[in-house]
Amino acid sequence: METKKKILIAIIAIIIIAGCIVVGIKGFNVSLYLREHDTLQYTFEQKFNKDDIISIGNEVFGEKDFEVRTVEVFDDSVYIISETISEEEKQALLEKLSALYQESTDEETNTEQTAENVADTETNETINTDSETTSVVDELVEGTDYNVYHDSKIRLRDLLRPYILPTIISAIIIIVCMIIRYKILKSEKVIKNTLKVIGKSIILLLLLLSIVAILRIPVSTWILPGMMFFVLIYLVINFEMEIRRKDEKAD
Amino acid sequence: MGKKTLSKKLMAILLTLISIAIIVIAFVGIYMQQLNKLKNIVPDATYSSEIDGAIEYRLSVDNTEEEAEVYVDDEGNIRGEVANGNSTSSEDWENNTGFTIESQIIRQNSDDVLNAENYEKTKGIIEKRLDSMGATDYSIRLDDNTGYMVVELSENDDINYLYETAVCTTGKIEVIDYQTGVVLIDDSHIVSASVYPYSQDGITYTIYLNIEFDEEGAQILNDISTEYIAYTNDNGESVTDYVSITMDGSSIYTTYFGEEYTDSAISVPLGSNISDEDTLNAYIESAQSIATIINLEELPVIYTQDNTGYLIQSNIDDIALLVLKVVLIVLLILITIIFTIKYKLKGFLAGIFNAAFIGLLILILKVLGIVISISSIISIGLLIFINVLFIKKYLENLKNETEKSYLQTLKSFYSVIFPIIIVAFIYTMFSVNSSITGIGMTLFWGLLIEILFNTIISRYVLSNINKK
Repeated sequence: METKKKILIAIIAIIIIAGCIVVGIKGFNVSLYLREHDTLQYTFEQKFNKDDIISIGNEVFGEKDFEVRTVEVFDDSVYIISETISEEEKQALLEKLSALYQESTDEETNTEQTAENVADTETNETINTDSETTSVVDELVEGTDYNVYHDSKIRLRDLLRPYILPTIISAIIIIVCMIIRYKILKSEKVIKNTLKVIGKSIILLLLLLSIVAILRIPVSTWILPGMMFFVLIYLVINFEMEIRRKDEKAD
Repeated sequence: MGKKTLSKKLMAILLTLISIAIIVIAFVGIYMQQLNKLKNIVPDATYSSEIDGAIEYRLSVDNTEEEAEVYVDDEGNIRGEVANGNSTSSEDWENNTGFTIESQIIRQNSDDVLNAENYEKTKGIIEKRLDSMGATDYSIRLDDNTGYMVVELSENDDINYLYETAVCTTGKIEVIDYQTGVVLIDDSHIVSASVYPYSQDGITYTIYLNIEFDEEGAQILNDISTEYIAYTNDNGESVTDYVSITMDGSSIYTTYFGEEYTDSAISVPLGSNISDEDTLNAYIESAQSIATIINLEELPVIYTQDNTGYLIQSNIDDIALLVLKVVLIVLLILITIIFTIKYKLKGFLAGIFNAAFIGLLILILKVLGIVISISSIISIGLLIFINVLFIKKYLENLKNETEKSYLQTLKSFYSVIFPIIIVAFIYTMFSVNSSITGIGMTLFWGLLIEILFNTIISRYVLSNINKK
């Protein structure tokens, strides 16, 4: 076997083994929304800017993964989703969310200050803002102004279940058609060629899944159709190469 | 240049212009003045809940309890809720049921049903109901410890119908004594239910829900058919004793028997004198959903709704979709550039036709309202790949100036892409959810448009270029 081919096989084998280890230890990186998570729902009294919420999320959660989703038709409610939301994080979020449009309302009602009064005014404003913020958070009512939920995961198997039967049936029919195709093309080793293609398809699937696991690519509903399409592309390219080799031999 | 060649060249130019028009319509749109505004008359795409968001219902286990007067037998089993005041007789109501009446605290869910197994069973039944009722796109989260459930339904489905019927309906079917409330036949004796429309004159229809009972249930039915009849009481009054078929405590049909009933099934009319086709279909659908609920058994756990249903947007916003559109356009431009470099004018035109084929597919998906999911978008990528493969093959065959270039290309091409054709057909047949249907329909229409487009347009133009 050529050296290049041996190196390629070795790399593929290492990636697949590493992928299996990663899956065994950590599993796939299922996307946050599908995983078990905490949700803070907050209702504004006006339309909000999603980017403002994302900024607040970055401040509170830091490096921790989180998502922001708009709720409702009038875009006045938001879901902030994270794997866990501690009590401190919840309080910090509520403070910042309640202050978010409160500050802009205060700015609109402020009158012009002279330069000498700015320092005093700022100090007073800070004290006033702090006390207003604290009192606003205290005034928030769980169940009305905000809600905190702990949501279970959506099982991947539930999402993938509709794909299983059509994929299996498609695979069986494709294999049968492959065998017929090799017979029509008068290939010498029909079963061997068919098994070779099936084997390479499976290795491709394992390789792709390993890459997804190692690189921690978020896994969602696209995983099964995505993998299937890669295999289909491989099959098409493989059959195309076989025809070219046959044509070249004939020439 | 001969007349024939000139007309062929003009035809080629026309077909090329048509292709360019298709590209513009598909990716830009057709804007017309409507109410002093420019509006794109090309319909918007219908997206799945992955892209467009979903309606979320939060349900918790119903732990409420209420005091109720019930009939209790000698073994302490509850045999129904007292419903006096329904008699057609003017005589004072007396408890002649043979059961004692007790005031009991009735919990919606007794403690023994509140376990992980029953929560899972409830979820499983709801899923089967949603599948039977045609829900194309849904997900359910379940907390095995508390039973807390979150159901997400797609806006593309009939949400109210699905939610009210599949999720909210417990499905407890009983035949009760209308006068007293005593349960005569409970759902443990029900074998199956089915729906059939009946017409005597071929113009107006009655929809029947047929409920089949087991042997014991059939015997009870036979017994009650001799008791629940119209008669004259001792006071000379005309009295009718009714039975009622209830679902979750609400009556769906009340009747009495004119003669002894020996059949093991009872036919419940759910709609009569229906002549309009749309109304008929609506009644059949409604009756079918009741039959489905009966056939799938009642929910072991009763839930209460925590919210009215919130629309939760996905995290794929308009900007993400715009980026996707731009990436697609850039990809098609790149393909055109690469073909042009390799095959000159023919390559340039082939690139245009490739883009037009994708544009036509997108237009058809929009017009037909086929739900587009992330999987459908990946399918479009797959179709671009195979069309590029086809065009490359055809251009190579044209280069070699073989006589039957197009037929050769077709034969070779379809012997290679048959796995994709198989997936397109199988996935189209399995219309179980919007993602599966989206993949199947996208591939099916893509392959169909591809063969037609390439046969009619690409082949004509590319084979007639440079012909003298």
